[in-house]
Order: sequence, then structure tokens, then C-alpha cells
Amino acid sequence: MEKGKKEVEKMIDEFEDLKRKYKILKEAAKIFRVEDKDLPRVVKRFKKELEDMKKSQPI
Amino acid sequence: MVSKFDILKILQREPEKYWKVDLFEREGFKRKVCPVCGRGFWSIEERERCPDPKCGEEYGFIENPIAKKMSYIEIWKKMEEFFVGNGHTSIPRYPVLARWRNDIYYNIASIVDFQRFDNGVMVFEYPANPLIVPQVCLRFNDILNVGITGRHFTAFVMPGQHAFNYPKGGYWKNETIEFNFRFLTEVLKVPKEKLVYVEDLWTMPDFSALGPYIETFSLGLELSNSGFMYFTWRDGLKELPMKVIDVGWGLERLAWFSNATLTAYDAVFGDVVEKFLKKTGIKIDSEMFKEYSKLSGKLDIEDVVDLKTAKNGIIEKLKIDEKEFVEKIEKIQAMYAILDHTRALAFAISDGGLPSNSGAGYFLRVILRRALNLIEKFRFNVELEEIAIWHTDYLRQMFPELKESEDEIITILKAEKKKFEESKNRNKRIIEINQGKSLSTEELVKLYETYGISPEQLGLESTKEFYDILNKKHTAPTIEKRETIEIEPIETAQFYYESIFEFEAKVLKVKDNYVVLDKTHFFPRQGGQESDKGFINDCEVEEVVKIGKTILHKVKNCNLKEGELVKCRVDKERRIILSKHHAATHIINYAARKIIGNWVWQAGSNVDIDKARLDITHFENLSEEETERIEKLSNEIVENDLPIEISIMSRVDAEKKYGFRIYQGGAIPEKNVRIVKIGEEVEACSGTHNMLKSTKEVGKILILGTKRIQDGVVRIEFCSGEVALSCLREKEKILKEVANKLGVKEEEVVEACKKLFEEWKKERKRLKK
Repeated sequence: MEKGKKEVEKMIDEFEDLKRKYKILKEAAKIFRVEDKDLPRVVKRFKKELEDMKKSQPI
Repeated sequence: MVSKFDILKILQREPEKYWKVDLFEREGFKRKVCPVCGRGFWSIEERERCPDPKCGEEYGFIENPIAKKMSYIEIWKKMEEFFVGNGHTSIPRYPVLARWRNDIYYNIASIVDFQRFDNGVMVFEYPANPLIVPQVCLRFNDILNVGITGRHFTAFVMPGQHAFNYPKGGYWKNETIEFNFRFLTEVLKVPKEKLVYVEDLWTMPDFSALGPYIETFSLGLELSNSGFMYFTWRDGLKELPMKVIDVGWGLERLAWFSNATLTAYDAVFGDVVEKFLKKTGIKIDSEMFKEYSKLSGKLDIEDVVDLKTAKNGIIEKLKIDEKEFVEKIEKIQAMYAILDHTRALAFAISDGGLPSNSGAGYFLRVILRRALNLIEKFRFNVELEEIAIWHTDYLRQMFPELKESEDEIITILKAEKKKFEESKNRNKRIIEINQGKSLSTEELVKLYETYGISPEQLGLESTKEFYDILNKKHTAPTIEKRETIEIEPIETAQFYYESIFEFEAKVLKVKDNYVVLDKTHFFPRQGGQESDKGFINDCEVEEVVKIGKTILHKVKNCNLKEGELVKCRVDKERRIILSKHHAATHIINYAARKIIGNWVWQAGSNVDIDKARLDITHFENLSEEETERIEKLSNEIVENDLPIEISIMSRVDAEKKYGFRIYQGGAIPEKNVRIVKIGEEVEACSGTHNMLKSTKEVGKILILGTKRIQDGVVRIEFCSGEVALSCLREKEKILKEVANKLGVKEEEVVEACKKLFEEWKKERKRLKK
């Protein structure tokens, strides 16, 4: 069950790197006030809406 | 069904056997029977009735001191010196929240310190014998009397004089009353002619222990109670093999008696009264209050149910009008109540208590809001926090821990005041609708329980019935009904703390899908940790539960037969993850307490394989910054590679060595506890911590989120090790997906999102125009 010390160190490094990326994701999700898991869908929607709006004339 | 009265009658047949002590004969105490209450009493001076005020005695000591004048703290110091000089060990007080008991919330008497349960039977566990302890107790059944009668408190010190295990150890009646008499006459200098000993009966509510009881009175004031646990009732009196002395002194009463002040509060609160008067500018009309004190000494809301009539009677006797009564009497009563409530809160918060709308915090909030209401009603320009500091200053010689917890006391009191103000603003409309209405007690309770609106906020006075209903509902924990599986009790040999994952066993019993083996290495669900899974032969084990000493394995498609020898396999990977998550629970609990404050206690936990959760007591949700700090400290503990140590020791030794924080998961109903030490965090715990040797094996901890799940409880969800990594890898995938959609690098996602959102807003604005 016990992993070698090296492997543990490697896991710690990976954790730090992934944690840094997770922080980016959380910060980005905050901009749209959504949960991080919903961000791809929300970004897609905003991009689409933006494109549509750009094509549209003012009301 | 036998009653206390019936048992007393039996003992009263032989008073010389049960209550007489050598000292009575030596000092010339004679026995008489009180014609009012029928109890026997022993006195030197000739008297007709017993000295209990209920039998007509008046307090004769007010402004008539007969004892040596000593301060509240000085009396304890002298008492400690006297008893230590007479073979007792002085031990520090126990917490006011009885964490070692699952049947009560508060420490209500010094004997509670030593009462424990061992498989349902009450036993005594003590760190020394005989001993003396300055036990602070909390009782909330007299809230309305506090401030009014001059003698009632919600927090009081009961110096407990205890001797256990007689005749093998300790001592018995003669020595008890000898110490009692000598302390009062030699140290407190009470003339022996002024002492009266009254006979009564001491009993546990279920009569599991009972015996003679001797109350010591002087000039109408009860100074101590000496209980002798002599018998148990099992269709008659049966002598207990181990006898216990339970003497509860009243430090508040001793101080009052010694100082002969108008109220006990003046003698007990030291300079705090003076500070309050100075700060608020209110003045005590001594003559008026003296007259009032004579009348209030007889007041007890328990007896005088109609408070209004009693109050009118007093107004009449004092020959004043209601306005003057409010100004000269009620204001002072309010001051005493506020001082008492703040002192009780200081002790409770110092011991890790947190006001809330349920559990042990319920009555802390009741008295806190009562104090705030009184401050508002009488427009006192004083804050609870400063009163708390006055108390901690005054009590620092006796209870230095209060001073050490000052910051926490202030934080909690401030947070609670803020909540109170918010609740008032939120409920403005409901208060307006109900003001001036005639509401029943039930309706008032409903308003309090639903919205936190007290009768005082509606311009009404709380009644005894109001507090009685709250008391009934909130003074003791409700014992949760556990799921039961009807199966005959068969003891299973339990080996789940050995790291063996494949074993053979014999099937002893099969009932429905439940299988009992002669021995098992499967860990059953307990201590918040989910159970092991695996296989018994080819049957999948989906759950393991423990009922008493029987371990039940719930299997899918059971084809096992009783008497059959089976091959068992525990899912080792699952066990490892559970063990890591469980150790992470302890680590986060410690980190949260360090970052947030000492009031953080485990309120619940669940350790599973996808994630774990820890519920902690805290008055508001954690901020992002606090969450990050908790995670950071937790991971520092992980990286420091601290050993995870497990030991089995007696409860009394564990409490002595590590204190009462070991009961994070609740009281342990057995004599021996399994202590798990992870760095500085020490808890009594049944989890499979033996699977890990040090914190590094837990792996990095990732806090997934926090939320406030009820008033005063915050839930922290987290995972660790490989589970945390796999969770983060999922997050990485999402980030990659977002980056792809935006056509940027991962590091540029935040900026790109900001840009997208801004453009989107701008474009929308343009279109709206």
C-alpha cells in the first residue's frame, strides 16, 4: 500500500501544478458566477451570443 | 413504583444508623424532627423547626456577619488549602460542557466530572482519591430567578469534595462531616452553635444509587450538601459494594454568607458590580434595596408562579409606585442578571461552547439574548464584551483560562450581537404584527424557535412556563434511534485493526442478506468512517455494520450456509482511501481550530472514498481566505511527515493526559479508549488509522468546498492523496477545454474570460441602445 518516497514527492509536485491550474479555473468561473464544471458550456454560450450580437443591429 | 419519599421513610426508621456521626455526639448536637417538613435535623442550639427557609426560617446573616470576611476567590483558596492539608488532591475544574457524557449537555454538578458509562452502566472514574475540585456548573432551569432572588445563578462554582471506593479507599460519613464542621468553624470561623445539619435523601433519578444526605445550614442559608451513595434500589435497598461521597459546596453561598451582603451577587462578582455601576451611571438606593432584599430572599419563581402578583405585592410593601420600582429595583435586578449571564457565557465560550439555535449552544444563546434585551430595555451604555473582560480580570487568579480565552470570548459575543441585530431587522414586520397581541406561551415559544423573537422584543415578560418549555426541549441531547437488525447477539472476534485482507472464517449465522462470521477483518461502519467492502466466497460484501459485539456483513445474492468455512477478501484499495480520508479529517479539524478559533469542534463527519466531510462548529461560513489557510496548514502537516500514533488507554488517563478535546466524535461508552495522535491533534477514535504510519501517507489534501449547513455548523468537503489528484486532473481537463474554446493557453484563461465577458456586456449594451 505504501508508495515509495520518490513517488510521493512526484505526487506532491503534480498536486501543486494541478492546484495552480484549478485556481485559474475557479477564478475564471467566478467571472461568469458559475460553478467551474459549467464553465466550458457557459464560455461556449457567451461566445455564441457575442457572435450573434455582433451580427445583429440595435433594437 | 417506589418514590423518593418511600425510601426516605425507610431510612428514617433508623436515623442514628444513617445520619448520625460521631461529631454530633462529641459536639453536643441533638436530633429533632421538623414539624413542618418531617425531616430530622441536628443542632446545638435549641430550635423547634429545621433551618430550611421553606419551613419558615429567614436569612439571618444579611448585614449580620458571623463568619470571617473573605472574598469569593479567597474562600476557594482557603478551602483548597484546608482540604489539601487534610489529604485531598486539588484538581483543575472540568469543562462546563460535559463532552464526556452523551446524556447531558452541561456540567450540572461536581460529581458529573467523574460519572462515565461503561456499556450502559454508570461508573465512577477519578484522577485522585479523595479530591477537591472548583467545578463551574451551568444550570438553566432558574433563568427567571437570576437577578431577582439575590441568590440564583446560571453559572456557579460547586467546590466538589469527593471520596470514592469506600471501604477500599476514600472515607465515609464521620470523616465527611468532620471535614465539613472543621472547615466551617476553623477556616470560616462560623460559631458551631450556628450550624444545623438536616437529614435528607440523595438519589439518582432512576434509584441506581442513593443514600443519606446531610445539608449544612447556618442562619437559614444552605452552605453544602453531603451525599452518601450507600444503596441501590432493586425491589428493596441493596448495599453498593463501592460507596461514594458526593459533597457539593456552594462557593457563591459561602461568599454571600461570609460577606453578609444584600445579595449573593455583590459578594460573588467582586469589583465587576462597581465597574458596571460606574460605566452606566446607575445608583443603588441602599435603603430601598435592603427592604427589597428582605422580601426577595423569599422569592422563588418556582413557587411564585404569578410573577406579576408577586411584584405588585412587593411594590405595595415597599410603598412605592411602579415607576420607582422599575428605576430602583428592576434596573438593579437586570444588572445582576446581565452580569451572571455574561459570566456563564465567558466560561462556556472559554470551554469551546458556541451559542446556537440547537444542541449545547441553545441555552447559551437564550441567556445571551436575554442579557442583550435587558441592556436595550434599560438603555445601559455597556457592551457584553467589556463585562466579560471585567469578569475575566476578576477571576484570573482562580480561572486563568478565562483570561487566556478573552479574544475568543470577545469574537463570539460580537458575532452574536451582530446576529441578534440582523435577526431584529429581519423580523421587524413580524414583531410589529405581534406587538400588543395577547399571545399564549406556545405561540411565544413558536416565535422564539422560528424567528428568534423573544417575548421581551414584543414588550412582554418571559414567564416560567416559557422557559420550562424551552428547558424540556433543549437541556439534554436526543438519543438518535439507530437502525436495528433483529439478530441474536453473537460475539464476532474482531481483527480489523490488523492489516490482513484475506482470511478464512466460519459462517455462524445467516439471516436474510446478513452474515455473521466467527471472526472478521472487515471494518464495520463506525466513527464516521464508511465500512469495508469485499467478498465472502463469491458473494459481494456491500456493507458491514456493528451491533453490540456482533459484526454483520451485508452481502449481495447470499448463498452462504451456516457452519460453512468461507474465504474472505477485503477491498484493500478502498480501505486505504478511507484511512487517508479519515486521517485528513483529523488534520483539517486541527487546522480549522488553529485558523478559526477554539470554539471549533467536530459536529459530525463522514468518511467515504470519493470525498469526506467534516462538520465544524462555527458561527458563519468560512471565507475563501480562511478555507485556503486551513488547506495550507493541513498540507503543511502532511508534508511535515508527522507520525500517526495509536494507543489504548483508560478514559481517566487519556483525559488527564490530553484533556477533553479527545471527545471530538462524542462520548466513549467504554472504560478504555483508542487514542489516535496525529501531530498535535489527539482524538479518541475507532478509525483504521493503523493503516498509515505518518501524515505524508495521507497525501495532499484538497478542500472541495465549504457551506453553512445549519446555524453554528459549517461543512467542509475534501479529499486527499490519489483521490485529490484525480479530482484535480478532472479540473485540468475542464480548464483545457475552456482554453481550447477560447483559443488561448491555460494560463491566459482568466484574462480571456474577462475579455469575453466585457465584450459581451458591451455588445449587449450597444444592442439595447
